[in-house]
Amino acid sequence: MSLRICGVVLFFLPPLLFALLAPEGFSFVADKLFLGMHFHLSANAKIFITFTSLIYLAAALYSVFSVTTKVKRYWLLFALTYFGNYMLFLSADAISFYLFFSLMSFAVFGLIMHDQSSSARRAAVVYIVFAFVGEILLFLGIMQTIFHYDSTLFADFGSNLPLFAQLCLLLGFGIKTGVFVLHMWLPLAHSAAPGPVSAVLSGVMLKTGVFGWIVFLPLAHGHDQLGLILTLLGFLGIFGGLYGLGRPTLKQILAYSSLSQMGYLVMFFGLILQNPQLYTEAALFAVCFFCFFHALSKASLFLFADILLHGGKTLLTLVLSTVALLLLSGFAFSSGAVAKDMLKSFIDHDFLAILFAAGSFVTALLGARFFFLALQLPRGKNTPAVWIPASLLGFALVLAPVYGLAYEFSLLHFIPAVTAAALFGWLYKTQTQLPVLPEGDILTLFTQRK
Amino acid sequence: MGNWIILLLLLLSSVIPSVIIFFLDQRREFLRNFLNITGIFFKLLLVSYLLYGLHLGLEFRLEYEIFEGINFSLRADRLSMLFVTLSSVLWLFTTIYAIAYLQKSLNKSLFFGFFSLCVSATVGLALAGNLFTFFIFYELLTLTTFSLILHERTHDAKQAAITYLKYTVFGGTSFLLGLVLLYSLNLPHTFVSGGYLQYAQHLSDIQAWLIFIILLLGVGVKAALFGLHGWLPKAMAAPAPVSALLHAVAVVKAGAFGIIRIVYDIYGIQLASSLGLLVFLAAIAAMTIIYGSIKALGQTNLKKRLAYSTVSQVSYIALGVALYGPLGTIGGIVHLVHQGVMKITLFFCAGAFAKTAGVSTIDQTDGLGKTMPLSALAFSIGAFGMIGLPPFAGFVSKYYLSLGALANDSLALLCVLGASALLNGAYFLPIVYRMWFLPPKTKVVAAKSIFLYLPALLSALLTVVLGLFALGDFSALTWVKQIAESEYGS
Repeated sequence: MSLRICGVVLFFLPPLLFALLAPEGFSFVADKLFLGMHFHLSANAKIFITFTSLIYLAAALYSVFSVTTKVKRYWLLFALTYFGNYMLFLSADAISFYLFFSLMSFAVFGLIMHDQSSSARRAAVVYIVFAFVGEILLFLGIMQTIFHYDSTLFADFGSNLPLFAQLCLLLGFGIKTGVFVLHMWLPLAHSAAPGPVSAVLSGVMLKTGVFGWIVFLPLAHGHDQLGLILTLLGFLGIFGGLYGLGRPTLKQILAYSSLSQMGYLVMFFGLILQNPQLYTEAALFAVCFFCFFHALSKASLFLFADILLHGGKTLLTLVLSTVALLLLSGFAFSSGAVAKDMLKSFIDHDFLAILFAAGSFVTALLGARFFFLALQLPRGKNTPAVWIPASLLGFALVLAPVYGLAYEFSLLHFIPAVTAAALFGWLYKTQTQLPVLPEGDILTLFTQRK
Repeated sequence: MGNWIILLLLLLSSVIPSVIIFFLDQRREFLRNFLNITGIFFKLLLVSYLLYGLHLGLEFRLEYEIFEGINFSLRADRLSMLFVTLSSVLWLFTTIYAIAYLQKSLNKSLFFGFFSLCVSATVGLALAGNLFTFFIFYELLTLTTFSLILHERTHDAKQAAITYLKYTVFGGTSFLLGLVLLYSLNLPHTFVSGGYLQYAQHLSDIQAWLIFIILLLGVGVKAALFGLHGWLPKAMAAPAPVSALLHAVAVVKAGAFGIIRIVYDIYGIQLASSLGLLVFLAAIAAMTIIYGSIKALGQTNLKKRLAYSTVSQVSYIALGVALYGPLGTIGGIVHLVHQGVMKITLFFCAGAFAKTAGVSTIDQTDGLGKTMPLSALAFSIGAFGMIGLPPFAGFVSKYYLSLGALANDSLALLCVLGASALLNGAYFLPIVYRMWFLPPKTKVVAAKSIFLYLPALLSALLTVVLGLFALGDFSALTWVKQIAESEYGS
């Protein structure tokens, strides 16, 4: 066991060190490899690889404890997924990006499938269908992009793109991000996969779609209609997460919570597309910070959920989960509030700002459901593995100060969590059961039920 | 006429072993294999010499006038050497594979005799310096492959051979007609980069179109274009080495090569474009690409699925030819090499699965990742390459083809490539999934011979190398870029 831990640290620590220590602007070119591979560490990329390596390290350490079957296959696929996931952030040209993105997308299939139960199989198949269609859409979009700019380098991108390319890129990356309607694979995959894989999926992989949008789309130009559609889909995503209230498993609730959270980003991108003047470094940083924050909190929550589901329900675990949930819903004095407020500060439409704030209610409600469901689990024992998500949570807590961001107090920060807690407390007291909705929301419209 | 002896030797290196093998007793296994392998190695040596000579700027030609204006002509230019090298290297792999695969088979002397003659025919048509010479070797190819399809003498094999003959005789007749019409024009009929038909006086557009269509019918049979492809799935009745041969090196590539020669070295890309021939070819290619993939989806037999996949993929080459501009040309011609390597991998594996585990249908491929991991790995690489995933060879072809499509303002053709990739995934990914994630259904029934999966691993390795090192000095891509340069005169 300790040998395994050493192995994991040896393999997964260096990328983290690189993320923390490498200078911004670090470049590397391998122009005779493949079709010419360029690498560059931009400021945004640095943020992404930092939380990527943190979460993968945590997930890997956790896997040492939790993965007991098909171990070799698991680690091979885990390593490949990590490699693809990490390197795509460093890619400075479209083809390298596509290579690593594809590697990640395909390798994770085996991880979702890991325990080979029928639900895992179903989740993995649904996932790969979506992912593969996304691959093809991305290919079409990327090829037209390369042709349009007459270059594969991101540095040469920026001026306006044809509609076809933008659409393909939006949809292709949208599938990964979990944009509403394209998200159907998300809840299934997150709950069927092993705990650490869900953590990685929700924490990091979803963000690769966002990163794809950042590097490929000509955000400085915007596009009114596409922006409108995206804003709408974002809105639907935020509130679509409420479907999770009807799901009776911890992981599915978290999945729908992720859907809701990604909805914020989707809506934000929609707004930028409609108002390109919003596209500033500050706005990008807000997106990146939000991603960092969400990644850490969500990953820790998934690991806590896994612990709870495997006989680890103790006071400690419950308390830690609650802290994470509060963080996620933007509770007072938290990095979560900072992250949400930062995003909200770019919105000057009052109506949209209210919608945004209302989204916190969704997160809070889902969080409360999670809590009360967890309460009903049988009592368990403390496991040392709980320190892994606890550390992630710790990082999430100090994230705002680390980045030098100040927290601005507002009573509004208390409201969602308190209301949700009160509501669910009352439901719990009165023993009211929430209706159980079928797994897979929109997907059930397309698939036959046996 | 420079250095003609080398070219002659190149042809003889497989004709001589072939003739000797025909007269060998069945049991003289060692001698037969020895002759085969020696012939191939000698051929490879000559190929290396030719490549080096070309690099130094030497000329290799053989011209023999049969009648006035009709020459038997062999010539080693970049394009012919590309095909010759591909054929020779893949032939080596296939021979090793065939020796292992046919261990318990009968009539081996006949098989290997015709096998070697097949190589000669392929090399001959690759080296052909004009359409007349090309035609001679093209028909020789038909005859030799006919016997190979017939090899197992089963009912299916006989039916397949008869169907094959029907199609190829039709094609051959059409080709001959086109040849006669072409040669009736008063021109020197040697393949020239940039074409020579533009110098024809009194050639009306209708005549040019007619000759093109008739010639296309001729080469289209072997290239398995839509409507002329019917023989190919049936030919799966032949043993796996033959399928590997037909679908990767000899027959289909000969057809595709014919299309390349006709468009680039007879008509010339400029003339073809201005006549509208390219649009016509692109339409047929697009149709074949989609049709082949859709039919492949419906197949439950593994080899048949691969057959229809070939029908689809060879038209990528035709599509590349039909896309005006160096990008399309590069994509099409480089796919000649890439598709050959990837397809041969898949067929080698399919044959190995059949021989070692009795696998013939898709649902029997369950769990092959466990029972035959190396072959399953090679198959997976081949499959991913076919779908066009990076960093494999198939992606490089698709990359250039896509850029070529966009250079011709055709979003539609780009979407055809996308749809084809989607369909490819739909019929390959389930197999890969079954191999690695499902428990085995079949058991190993025969001993695993290393020569059955070594060739597949080597060609799978090539698939990776041709993609990952596509920009290297000795890659297929670099070579093809030079060919494209000379065609467009840049």
